[in-house]
Amino acid sequence: MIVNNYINWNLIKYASVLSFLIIFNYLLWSFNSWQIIKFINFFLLLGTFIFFFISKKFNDYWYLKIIILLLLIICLGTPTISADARLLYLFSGKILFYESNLYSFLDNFNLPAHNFFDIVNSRPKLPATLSATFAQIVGYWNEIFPKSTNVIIIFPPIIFLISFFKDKVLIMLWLFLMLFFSGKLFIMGMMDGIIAIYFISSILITYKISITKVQSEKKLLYFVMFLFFTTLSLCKNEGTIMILVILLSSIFINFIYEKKINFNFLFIALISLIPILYWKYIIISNNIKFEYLQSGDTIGRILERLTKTEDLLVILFFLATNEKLVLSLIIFIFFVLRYFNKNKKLIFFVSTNFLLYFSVIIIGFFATPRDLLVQLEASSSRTFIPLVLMLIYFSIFLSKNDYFFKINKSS
Amino acid sequence: MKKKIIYLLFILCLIKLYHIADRSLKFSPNILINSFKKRVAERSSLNFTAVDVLPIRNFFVSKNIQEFKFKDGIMKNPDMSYQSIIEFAYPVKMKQNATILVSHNMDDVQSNCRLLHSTKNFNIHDCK
Repeated sequence: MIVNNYINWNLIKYASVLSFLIIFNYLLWSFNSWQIIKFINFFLLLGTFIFFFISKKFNDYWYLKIIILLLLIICLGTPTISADARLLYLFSGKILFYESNLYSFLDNFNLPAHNFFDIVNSRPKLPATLSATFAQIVGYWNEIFPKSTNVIIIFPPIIFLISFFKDKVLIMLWLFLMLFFSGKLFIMGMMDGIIAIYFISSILITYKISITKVQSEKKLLYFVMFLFFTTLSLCKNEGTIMILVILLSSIFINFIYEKKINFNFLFIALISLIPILYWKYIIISNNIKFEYLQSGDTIGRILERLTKTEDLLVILFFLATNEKLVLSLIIFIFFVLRYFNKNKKLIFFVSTNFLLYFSVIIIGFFATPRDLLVQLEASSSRTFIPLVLMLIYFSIFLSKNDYFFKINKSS
Repeated sequence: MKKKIIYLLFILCLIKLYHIADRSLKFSPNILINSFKKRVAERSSLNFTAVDVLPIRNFFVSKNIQEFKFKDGIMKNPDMSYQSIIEFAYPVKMKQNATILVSHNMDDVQSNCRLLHSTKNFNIHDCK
């Protein structure tokens, strides 16, 4: 059983307001709303973001304020070197900045066969819309400041995740390990860091919903779940897969422990997927290729690689030499062995999510139309970051009760 | 004891942030100061493609060119420069029926094309 159920509801409420304003910005773009409304919403978002830094209510979190401000400063002081960040994500924002229309790509281009624009245009656009709104307020686009809105996007899940820790040492430990394993991914314009942090938050919120009995708390958690699922699915294609993984794991665990399915949870999860499903509907109905799964015979490629010893060994090699993944697994297994009896349900839930998403990543590598070695070298490290952070966070989460008592005794 | 651990972890966070800024992402105070100015850090962001991409975009802007296209050879074997030109030149758009043609500077072009500008690896032609 869980001993310490500490939750800072103020932080969760704050995270939900910030997250709502981020999604509302996307909705305004998706409805082609007047620019002035987007601007007002952005200023509200900015005001809410700044509120955390000036409010006395959050003075206890001075270290988080400093870390987030430093992330923002680093983001504004570094060139956008990563090709993926520039060509796939910031380019989307640049197009939105100039066209002021989320659907401009449907009739604006007369493009030849190469699918570069298909890849750019078909990606989910939530972070790009926020960058575009910011740039429209500033009045021009440049290579630096538009990507700084990613720091605002990662803030709600960071706040949410620390709201479950009462002990500052654990919060600091989590913040350090988060920066250690994926710090640069948050600020270089890529989506991997963003989806990683939303993935962990979504797993935690799903678990909390399953054990919370107080209805008012449960309603707020459902609301935050809706916001986080929507954001996760609208940041990167992998986000939707993560939600499906969480859904499957949740159904599986609920079935084992409760012998029933939580239909409220399923209903809200499906509602939160409506924006991304609508987006994908537009993409597919306009015959835009949106993923490499649509390139050639995917099933054939997977089967061929599965039966090829050389490819299997290459993947095993990359897994074994992924030091972040190996280290986080060792840490998680250590805490699982220590706290298994107290937190069986949570451990099963996290492990199911791990195994499902891990399998999806491996299948993704088998399915790539590119050379396997090239694909692994290009993305194997950052693809596993969501799993790495998940294992680290829940290792700390498992230890929070035990650790808390030890510190009190020793101090 | 507890406070000491908190401060130690906080210092570790600062060290990690310094490492990210200085080693991984090439932080520059100059970029930070000018982060809200037009055309800041373009060369450092574009990396090795800057030698072609920057002059091509500047040429398009100086001549008020709205559309361009690539020679077929570039389209068939697209590389980083090809994508960077599309991205960086935007809102100058790539269109199949444009008269401005971008080709590799070793490529032969049609006789009706007039050379307008050259970069290290590319030529810009007007093919009316």
